[in-house]
Amino acid sequence: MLLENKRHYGARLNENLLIKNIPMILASCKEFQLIGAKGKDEVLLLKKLKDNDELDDLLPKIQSRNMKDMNMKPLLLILAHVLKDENIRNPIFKEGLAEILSTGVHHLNMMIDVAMEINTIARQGHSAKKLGWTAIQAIV
Amino acid sequence: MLQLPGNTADEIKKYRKQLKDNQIPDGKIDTFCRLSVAQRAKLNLFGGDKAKLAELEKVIKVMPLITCSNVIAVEGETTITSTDIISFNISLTYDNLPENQSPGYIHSENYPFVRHSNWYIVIVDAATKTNVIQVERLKHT
Repeated sequence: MLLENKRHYGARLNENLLIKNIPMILASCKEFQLIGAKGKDEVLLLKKLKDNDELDDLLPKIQSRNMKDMNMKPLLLILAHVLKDENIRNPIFKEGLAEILSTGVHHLNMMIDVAMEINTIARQGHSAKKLGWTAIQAIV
Repeated sequence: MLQLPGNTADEIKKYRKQLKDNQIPDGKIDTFCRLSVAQRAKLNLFGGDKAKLAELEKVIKVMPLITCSNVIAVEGETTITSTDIISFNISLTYDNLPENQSPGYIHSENYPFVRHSNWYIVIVDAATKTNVIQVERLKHT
């Protein structure tokens, strides 16, 4: 799991990283992708979250190969929490959101570690990919 | 600024409009927290609501106001050459905290878990901002 997550972050982190990209990268890690909707009620509430225009603006619009089969629940939970959407307080989301909040910090630390590994590989001349201050700042 | 109790987007706008008149250098939260109690009272925040202002002062008292200083040097020498081993000595000081106390757990309405704060020290080439030399996480001990 650890190596798979590192590989996942390594592929998605780049020098053009912006703060608004972080929730998407975080939500697509292996553990969070396992957080699924448990019933029709939850699916309806997730659709309600999507009705928030501010939240909808931050959702990816282009269907890339990487996110074709992506579970959108973790991303919706993260964005609703960040934007303080009232619907996120529904008890149905409590368990999923608690897992994301409690382990999310470790995942962000892992992203920084991966960013440093990418820079070390670049310094050794094995790769042209290099992360600058703006990318690191976005994660921190 | 929205972290502070009673603050709303409108309230922050009102405060920022007063920056020039009160000779406040910028609208950052750090600058706001470093103003004296009298200076903040003069700003007439929250339409003069004293209860809200008292709540704000309570929070500002425990805000982690930090002073960061650094010394970059080579041990035993006064000049640095390209072959030297350079030492970075970075100090973070909590200005509000007495010397015999250490920072406690973080408080956040939207993060309901017990956790200590961490600081990241990122050493970057200031000229290009692309060459990241080192990232270090300072953990609470």
